[in-house]
Amino acid sequence: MENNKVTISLTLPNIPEYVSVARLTLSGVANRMGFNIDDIEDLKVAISEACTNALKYGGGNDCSKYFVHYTIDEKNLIIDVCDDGKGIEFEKLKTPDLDNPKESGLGLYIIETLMDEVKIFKGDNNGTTIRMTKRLGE
Amino acid sequence: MLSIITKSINGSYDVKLIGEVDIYTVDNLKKSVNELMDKEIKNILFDFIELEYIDSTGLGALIGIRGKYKDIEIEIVNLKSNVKRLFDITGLTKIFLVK
Repeated sequence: MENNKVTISLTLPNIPEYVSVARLTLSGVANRMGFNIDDIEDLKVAISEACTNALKYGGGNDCSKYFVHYTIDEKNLIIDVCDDGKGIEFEKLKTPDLDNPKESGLGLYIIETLMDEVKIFKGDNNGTTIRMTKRLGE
Repeated sequence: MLSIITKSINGSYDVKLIGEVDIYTVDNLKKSVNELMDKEIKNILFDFIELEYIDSTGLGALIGIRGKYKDIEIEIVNLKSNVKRLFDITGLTKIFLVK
Protein backbone atom coordinates (compact mmCIF):
# COMPACT_ATOMS: atom_id res chain seq x y z
CA MET A 1 0.00 0.00 0.00
CA GLU A 2 3.06 2.21 0.38
CA ASN A 3 2.77 3.25 -3.26
CA ASN A 4 -0.74 4.55 -2.76
CA LYS A 5 0.30 7.05 -0.12
CA VAL A 6 -0.02 10.72 -0.92
CA THR A 7 1.30 13.55 1.24
CA ILE A 8 0.13 17.16 1.15
CA SER A 9 2.28 19.63 3.07
CA LEU A 10 1.80 23.15 4.39
CA THR A 11 4.38 25.52 5.79
CA LEU A 12 2.64 27.95 8.12
CA PRO A 13 3.96 31.07 9.81
CA ASN A 14 3.90 31.32 13.63
CA ILE A 15 0.92 33.66 13.38
CA PRO A 16 -2.41 32.63 14.95
CA GLU A 17 -4.43 33.99 12.03
CA TYR A 18 -3.31 31.13 9.78
CA VAL A 19 -4.35 28.16 11.92
CA SER A 20 -7.64 28.36 10.03
CA VAL A 21 -5.72 27.52 6.82
CA ALA A 22 -4.69 24.17 8.35
CA ARG A 23 -8.38 23.53 9.17
CA LEU A 24 -9.56 24.45 5.70
CA THR A 25 -7.00 22.18 4.04
CA LEU A 26 -7.98 19.40 6.43
CA SER A 27 -11.65 19.76 5.50
CA GLY A 28 -10.81 19.39 1.82
CA VAL A 29 -8.55 16.37 2.32
CA ALA A 30 -10.86 14.55 4.76
CA ASN A 31 -13.95 15.23 2.68
CA ARG A 32 -12.24 13.82 -0.39
CA MET A 33 -11.29 10.67 1.56
CA GLY A 34 -14.93 10.11 2.56
CA PHE A 35 -14.92 11.03 6.24
CA ASN A 36 -18.37 12.01 7.55
CA ILE A 37 -19.21 15.47 8.89
CA ASP A 38 -18.80 14.51 12.56
CA ASP A 39 -15.36 13.03 11.91
CA ILE A 40 -14.32 16.12 9.96
CA GLU A 41 -15.41 18.35 12.87
CA ASP A 42 -13.33 16.22 15.27
CA LEU A 43 -10.33 16.34 12.92
CA LYS A 44 -10.60 20.13 12.64
CA VAL A 45 -10.42 20.49 16.42
CA ALA A 46 -7.52 18.02 16.74
CA ILE A 47 -5.40 19.73 14.07
CA SER A 48 -6.08 23.17 15.56
CA GLU A 49 -5.01 21.95 18.99
CA ALA A 50 -1.74 20.68 17.51
CA CYS A 51 -1.17 23.96 15.62
CA THR A 52 -1.96 25.97 18.77
CA ASN A 53 0.63 23.84 20.54
CA ALA A 54 3.21 24.56 17.82
CA LEU A 55 2.48 28.28 18.12
CA LYS A 56 2.86 28.22 21.90
CA TYR A 57 5.94 26.02 22.18
CA GLY A 58 7.56 26.42 18.75
CA GLY A 59 10.06 29.01 17.62
CA GLY A 60 8.14 31.73 19.39
CA ASN A 61 8.39 34.73 17.10
CA ASP A 62 6.58 35.88 13.99
CA CYS A 63 9.49 34.87 11.73
CA SER A 64 9.26 31.24 12.86
CA LYS A 65 7.25 28.64 11.05
CA TYR A 66 5.83 25.18 11.53
CA PHE A 67 4.82 22.39 9.20
CA VAL A 68 1.67 20.36 8.68
CA HIS A 69 1.79 17.15 6.62
CA TYR A 70 -1.36 15.27 5.65
CA THR A 71 -0.56 11.70 4.58
CA ILE A 72 -3.39 9.79 2.99
CA ASP A 73 -3.75 6.13 2.16
CA GLU A 74 -6.91 4.16 1.50
CA LYS A 75 -8.02 3.88 5.09
CA ASN A 76 -5.96 6.34 7.15
CA LEU A 77 -5.38 10.02 7.45
CA ILE A 78 -2.11 10.72 9.24
CA ILE A 79 -1.47 14.31 10.24
CA ASP A 80 1.97 15.48 11.40
CA VAL A 81 2.31 18.90 12.98
CA CYS A 82 6.01 19.72 13.43
CA ASP A 83 7.48 22.77 15.08
CA ASP A 84 11.09 23.87 15.19
CA GLY A 85 11.05 25.03 18.77
CA LYS A 86 12.40 23.73 22.00
CA GLY A 87 9.59 21.22 22.31
CA ILE A 88 7.24 20.47 25.15
CA GLU A 89 8.19 18.60 28.29
CA PHE A 90 6.15 15.43 27.97
CA GLU A 91 6.92 14.29 31.48
CA LYS A 92 5.10 17.32 32.84
CA LEU A 93 1.90 16.65 30.89
CA LYS A 94 -0.91 15.52 33.14
CA THR A 95 -4.39 14.26 32.49
CA PRO A 96 -6.70 17.18 33.30
CA ASP A 97 -9.04 16.99 36.28
CA LEU A 98 -12.38 17.04 34.49
CA ASP A 99 -14.33 17.74 37.69
CA ASN A 100 -12.35 20.93 38.07
CA PRO A 101 -11.44 22.16 34.56
CA LYS A 102 -8.56 24.63 34.20
CA GLU A 103 -7.98 27.28 31.56
CA SER A 104 -5.05 25.48 29.96
CA GLY A 105 -3.85 21.91 29.54
CA LEU A 106 -6.86 20.62 27.61
CA GLY A 107 -5.33 20.59 24.11
CA LEU A 108 -3.46 17.29 24.07
CA TYR A 109 -6.19 15.59 26.06
CA ILE A 110 -8.72 16.66 23.40
CA ILE A 111 -6.46 15.39 20.60
CA GLU A 112 -6.10 12.00 22.29
CA THR A 113 -9.84 11.74 22.79
CA LEU A 114 -10.77 12.62 19.22
CA MET A 115 -8.11 10.73 17.26
CA ASP A 116 -7.54 6.96 16.93
CA GLU A 117 -3.81 7.15 17.52
CA VAL A 118 -1.48 9.91 18.76
CA LYS A 119 2.30 9.91 18.98
CA ILE A 120 4.50 12.77 20.14
CA PHE A 121 8.19 12.72 19.40
CA LYS A 122 11.20 14.93 18.93
CA GLY A 123 12.04 15.72 15.32
CA ASP A 124 15.47 16.02 13.67
CA ASN A 125 15.66 19.72 14.50
CA ASN A 126 14.86 19.06 18.18
CA GLY A 127 11.37 20.46 17.74
CA THR A 128 8.22 18.53 18.52
CA THR A 129 6.11 16.47 16.12
CA ILE A 130 2.55 15.50 17.01
CA ARG A 131 1.42 12.62 14.79
CA MET A 132 -2.31 11.95 14.76
CA THR A 133 -4.06 9.16 12.89
CA LYS A 134 -7.74 8.84 12.09
CA ARG A 135 -9.01 5.68 10.43
CA LEU A 136 -11.83 5.82 7.93
CA GLY A 137 -15.01 4.07 9.03
CA GLU A 138 -14.28 3.64 12.76
CA MET B 1 -13.52 35.03 11.97
CA LEU B 2 -15.67 35.76 15.02
CA SER B 3 -18.44 38.29 15.47
CA ILE B 4 -20.00 38.98 18.84
CA ILE B 5 -23.43 40.55 19.28
CA THR B 6 -24.43 41.68 22.77
CA LYS B 7 -27.91 42.65 23.97
CA SER B 8 -28.88 43.68 27.48
CA ILE B 9 -32.20 43.58 29.35
CA ASN B 10 -32.26 44.66 33.02
CA GLY B 11 -28.85 43.37 33.97
CA SER B 12 -29.16 40.23 31.84
CA TYR B 13 -26.87 39.99 28.87
CA ASP B 14 -27.30 37.88 25.75
CA VAL B 15 -23.99 37.26 24.02
CA LYS B 16 -24.24 35.69 20.59
CA LEU B 17 -21.06 34.23 19.11
CA ILE B 18 -21.01 33.99 15.32
CA GLY B 19 -18.24 32.13 13.52
CA GLU B 20 -15.15 30.50 15.00
CA VAL B 21 -13.30 30.77 18.33
CA ASP B 22 -9.67 29.73 18.03
CA ILE B 23 -6.24 31.02 19.04
CA TYR B 24 -6.68 33.97 16.65
CA THR B 25 -10.16 35.11 17.71
CA VAL B 26 -10.21 34.17 21.40
CA ASP B 27 -8.87 37.56 22.55
CA ASN B 28 -11.89 39.17 20.94
CA LEU B 29 -14.15 36.99 23.12
CA LYS B 30 -12.20 37.75 26.31
CA LYS B 31 -12.21 41.49 25.59
CA SER B 32 -15.96 41.60 24.91
CA VAL B 33 -16.80 39.74 28.11
CA ASN B 34 -14.43 41.80 30.23
CA GLU B 35 -16.05 44.98 28.91
CA LEU B 36 -19.46 43.61 29.93
CA MET B 37 -18.24 42.87 33.43
CA ASP B 38 -17.57 46.54 34.05
CA LYS B 39 -21.34 47.00 34.11
CA GLU B 40 -23.93 45.96 36.66
CA ILE B 41 -24.56 42.43 35.54
CA LYS B 42 -26.46 39.51 37.01
CA ASN B 43 -26.31 36.87 34.37
CA ILE B 44 -25.00 36.09 30.92
CA LEU B 45 -26.58 33.88 28.32
CA PHE B 46 -24.19 32.75 25.60
CA ASP B 47 -26.06 31.82 22.44
CA PHE B 48 -24.00 29.37 20.36
CA ILE B 49 -26.54 28.89 17.56
CA GLU B 50 -24.19 30.41 15.00
CA LEU B 51 -20.95 29.23 16.59
CA GLU B 52 -19.45 26.92 14.00
CA TYR B 53 -16.21 26.05 15.75
CA ILE B 54 -14.51 26.26 19.14
CA ASP B 55 -11.38 24.57 20.51
CA SER B 56 -9.46 24.49 23.78
CA THR B 57 -8.48 28.15 23.49
CA GLY B 58 -12.16 29.16 23.57
CA LEU B 59 -13.08 26.56 26.19
CA GLY B 60 -10.18 27.83 28.31
CA ALA B 61 -11.49 31.40 28.00
CA LEU B 62 -14.94 30.28 29.17
CA ILE B 63 -13.42 28.41 32.14
CA GLY B 64 -11.47 31.59 32.96
CA ILE B 65 -14.64 33.70 32.84
CA ARG B 66 -16.43 31.19 35.09
CA GLY B 67 -13.59 31.29 37.62
CA LYS B 68 -13.18 35.05 37.59
CA TYR B 69 -16.85 35.99 37.95
CA LYS B 70 -18.17 33.40 40.40
CA ASP B 71 -21.30 35.32 41.38
CA ILE B 72 -22.68 35.68 37.89
CA GLU B 73 -24.99 33.07 36.47
CA ILE B 74 -23.73 31.85 33.11
CA GLU B 75 -25.93 29.87 30.77
CA ILE B 76 -24.96 28.48 27.37
CA VAL B 77 -27.63 27.55 24.84
CA ASN B 78 -28.01 26.17 21.30
CA LEU B 79 -24.77 24.19 21.11
CA LYS B 80 -24.18 22.38 17.84
CA SER B 81 -23.45 18.66 18.23
CA ASN B 82 -19.69 19.06 17.61
CA VAL B 83 -19.46 21.79 20.25
CA LYS B 84 -21.60 19.83 22.75
CA ARG B 85 -19.28 16.86 22.28
CA LEU B 86 -16.28 18.99 23.29
CA PHE B 87 -18.16 20.27 26.35
CA ASP B 88 -18.87 16.66 27.35
CA ILE B 89 -15.27 15.52 26.77
CA THR B 90 -13.75 18.33 28.80
CA GLY B 91 -16.23 18.40 31.68
CA LEU B 92 -17.56 21.89 30.88
CA THR B 93 -21.13 20.64 31.16
CA LYS B 94 -20.42 20.28 34.89
CA ILE B 95 -19.47 23.91 35.48
CA PHE B 96 -21.91 25.68 33.14
CA LEU B 97 -25.65 25.54 32.80
CA VAL B 98 -25.87 24.08 29.28
CA LYS B 99 -29.13 23.81 27.37
